[in-house]
Amino acid sequence: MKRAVRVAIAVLLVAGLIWGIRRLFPSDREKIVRQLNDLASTVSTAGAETDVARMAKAARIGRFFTEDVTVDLGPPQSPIQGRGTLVALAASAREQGRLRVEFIDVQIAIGPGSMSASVDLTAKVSGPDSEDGRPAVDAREFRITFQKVRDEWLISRVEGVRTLEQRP
Amino acid sequence: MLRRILIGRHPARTLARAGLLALVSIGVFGFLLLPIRLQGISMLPTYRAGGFNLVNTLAYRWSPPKRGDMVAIRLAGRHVMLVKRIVALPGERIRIADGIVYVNGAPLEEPYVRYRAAWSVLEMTLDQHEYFFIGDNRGMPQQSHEFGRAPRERIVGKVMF
Repeated sequence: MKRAVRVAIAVLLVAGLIWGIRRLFPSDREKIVRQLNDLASTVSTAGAETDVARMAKAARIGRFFTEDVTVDLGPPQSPIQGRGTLVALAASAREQGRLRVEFIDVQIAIGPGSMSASVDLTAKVSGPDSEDGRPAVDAREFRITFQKVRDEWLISRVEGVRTLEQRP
Repeated sequence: MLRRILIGRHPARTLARAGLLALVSIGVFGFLLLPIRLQGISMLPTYRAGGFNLVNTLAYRWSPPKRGDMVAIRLAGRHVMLVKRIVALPGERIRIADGIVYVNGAPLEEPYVRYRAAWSVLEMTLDQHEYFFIGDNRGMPQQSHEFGRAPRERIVGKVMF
């Protein structure tokens, strides 16, 4: 019994050590996943924000992106160029009310030299429908390009992926 | 008595059976028959939002998808999928005019469609590995309905019920 307890404690200690090392020295993949989780929680809103809080959150969203970020959701929407434009749009989007964003099925491919990464994911957005206010869920596929800038992974490009195409 | 009912005469065997059942359930419902909960109105009247169903991932292991099959289509992965009906097969020409689907020039009979809005899609020819997917709710605005062509590898499986 004593031996079993010692073995169990040893296993727990090793597991804790591994967990601690991974928290202190995360891999590039783990850093990107953390960035995406932080972005999702920053973009999400419970609604009923003051103007100051809304602007502050929108500014915080900007910190996840490079200065020259491009967000291309595909036609009929025009691409959004630059972090400043993105932050302004994020601020006005937060006026719509409650919004919950989740990134699901995240697949990360780190580029050679570990200076860029390509991420395919599904973004699931829950919130009131803009027309009738009833709860609605939308899910879209995106391809996101990350660049490593001063040891921080920032988003330089967001591209909407059309799962079902209607092109002739 | 209660202990006998819950654990049985041989607790170790009961535990082993429970463990085996858990493993089999995880295997079956995690990889073979995927449980799904439907959201949205694009498959009305066939499926209602909030309904549950199963996706058979082995359905097309030995035979190809057929016209009329209702399938689950993956996005970036399998945790969120689209449920649509196949209306055109690889190599076929498809167009939609006034809400009617035409395959290789002939109108498609679709008894599952209750209402039709005047949808319009220019003719396209599917590649050798492509299918055309569409929901059954054709009474909704075309721009609100996600439908179109996609390669075979996007199909996760067949919706069972």
